[in-house]
Amino acid sequence: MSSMEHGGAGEAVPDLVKQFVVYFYRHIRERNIYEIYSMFDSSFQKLSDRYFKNQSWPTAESITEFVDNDHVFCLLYKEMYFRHMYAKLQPTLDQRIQSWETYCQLFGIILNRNVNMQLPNGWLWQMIDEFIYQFQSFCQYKAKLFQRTAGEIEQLKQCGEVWSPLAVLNYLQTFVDKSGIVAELQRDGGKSLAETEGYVESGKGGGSNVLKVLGYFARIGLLRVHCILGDYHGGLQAMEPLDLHNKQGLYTKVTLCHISTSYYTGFCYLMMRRYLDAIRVFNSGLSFIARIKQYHSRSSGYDQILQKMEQMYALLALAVALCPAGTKSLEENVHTSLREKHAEKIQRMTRSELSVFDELFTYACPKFITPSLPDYSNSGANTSSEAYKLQLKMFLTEISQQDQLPVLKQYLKLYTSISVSKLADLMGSEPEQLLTLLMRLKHKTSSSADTDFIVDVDASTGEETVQIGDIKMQKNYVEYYSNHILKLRAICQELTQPPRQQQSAQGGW
Amino acid sequence: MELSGKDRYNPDLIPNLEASVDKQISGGSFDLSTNLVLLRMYQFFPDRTNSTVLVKVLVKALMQLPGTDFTQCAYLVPQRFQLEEPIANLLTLAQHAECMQFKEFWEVASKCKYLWESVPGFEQSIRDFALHAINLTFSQIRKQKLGEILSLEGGELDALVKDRAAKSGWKVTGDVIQLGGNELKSKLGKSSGSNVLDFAQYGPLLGM
Repeated sequence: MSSMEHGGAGEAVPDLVKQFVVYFYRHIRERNIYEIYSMFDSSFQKLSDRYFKNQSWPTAESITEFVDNDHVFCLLYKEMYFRHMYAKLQPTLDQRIQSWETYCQLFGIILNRNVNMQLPNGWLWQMIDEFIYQFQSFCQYKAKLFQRTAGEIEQLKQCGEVWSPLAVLNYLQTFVDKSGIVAELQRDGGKSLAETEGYVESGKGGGSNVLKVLGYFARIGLLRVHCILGDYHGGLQAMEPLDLHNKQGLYTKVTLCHISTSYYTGFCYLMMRRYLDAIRVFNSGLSFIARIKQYHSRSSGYDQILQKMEQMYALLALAVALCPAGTKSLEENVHTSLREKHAEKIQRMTRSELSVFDELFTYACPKFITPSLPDYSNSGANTSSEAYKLQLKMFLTEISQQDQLPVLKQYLKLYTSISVSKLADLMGSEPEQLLTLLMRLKHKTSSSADTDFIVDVDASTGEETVQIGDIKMQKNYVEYYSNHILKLRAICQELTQPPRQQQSAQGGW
Repeated sequence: MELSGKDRYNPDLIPNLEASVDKQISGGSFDLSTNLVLLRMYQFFPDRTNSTVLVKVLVKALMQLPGTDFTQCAYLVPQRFQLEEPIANLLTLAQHAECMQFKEFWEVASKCKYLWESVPGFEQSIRDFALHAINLTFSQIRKQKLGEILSLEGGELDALVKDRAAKSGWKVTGDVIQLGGNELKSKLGKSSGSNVLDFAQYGPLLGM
């Protein structure tokens, strides 16, 4: 049943919902960012869990009388209505199309008219996030032709622009262009944006953060869309000049946005074989999660935080197995958790076990999509996993090219000089093949510089020898011990201080 | 080709993007970003794929080794194109090159020369890539081995060695070539990573 059929103004709206929309509308009118976000993030979830576990919220048409028929508010409400439907129920094709139309209307107003509203950045981020999620979901829906009825297929053929990749990309790019965010980021590196978080002081008679902040988040949205298409270079390019090294940037203020940025950026680097960069990005993302996790255990995005965290650890394990030298840049707590979670798998990956690479990649990769139209003449088709299979195949091809290299590295660590023929014996291969393998090792590790050897030939005897530099990775005990000394000192200090309660009871702080 | 943000998502520009590929070929340049935009258009509209242009892009990308351009382009080429000739051949060539199996590479290459008929300098780029890897791996190399990797012999090989002797300081002793300009060797033996404490780190440790 489509929402239109049971909708309409005649529908009975529970009192709690009525109250909810009335207050929600009032807070938005009064530009009370804190209250708006609390209702969006927490109250909406609580009411959903209590009254709308298995059914959708009342339609926008039925609540419009409680909110002065405010068109923009109704669109915002509808956006949440569909968000809830996607999360809890199975949206029909009609509903998917209606949700697309809602976004088109809402985005059209934001882009073409001056919206006199301030919305919490956390909500704006989730708007972009949800928009892409529903796009992804539509691509999957379309790809599973075998589950569609003949009527649905007919309707899909007529869909045209609806959730088309180009339309989605164009919306995101239009936000970027219209918001003028690029010029602003280039001007001061995002400094003023980070200070105000994009909000406009209410004393100045209105003004809105919406377009500017959506423009900012749309860049990260573009990163994600490019990434699930397999265009990793384009993804990183779309994000420029957003600076990940800038620890104060606006993206760091919205938890889910920060995590998403780290995840997709790191994944792009991983697929571009820039393992050291991938490790660096995952490290900073994971240490961020470790710091903030505890404050979010009640927020609606908590499950998502935990899931992305586990996925990032899996991707980090892949990157570390491919580039052990990268462990040096890991923070201690990230390194410890990585070992707890994946030590055994990393071991097996360094023995070139493809199945482990396959397993971790499959678990942690984003949901790839096939952007082209399905072959409607073949109604039994299921192309939903085609894109994933292609990316997996390409990734495993790269891994299989590195086969034997870890073993070779282990042998090289044992010698300072060894003849090629002897090393070939140890590796169980022919000397000619071994030279190929040595060249491959150099080629594959040239970016991480964790091998140090050179082959020379004695001109008189023709004997080929591998000369090996000191490639042992020294553990950095200095840092380890100095960190622990400082920690111990901090603990001792805390123990010798008088208890805090006593102090505050004396009217201190 | 200069592309604004909007241009990257405009299918009307497909002819311009295709023309840019030919410009890159005649100008001896390579523009990864532009080519990826084109491949993404093909990904969106497979029936508008011009397979001649697609092959050109991939051949040009392969010439960028040791860069990862080829892989990055291939991520966007749908599976059914990858399984068919001529793309399948290019993937095999890329695989051999990535694995340093140059003997096998030149064998396959000899059978599909038509793929880079219109792209000058293909074989030279692969040789440059091979030489790059040789320079990383060897300080001396047997001349016969060098010839095998580069698929050069006789006069052609001598000419290359002579050229390099003049430009990069190679020296020939009998059958062995001493590759000059190799700085790695002097670095051998020095340990990486160190257990040295910065002066600034002492203070806090001593409680200062």
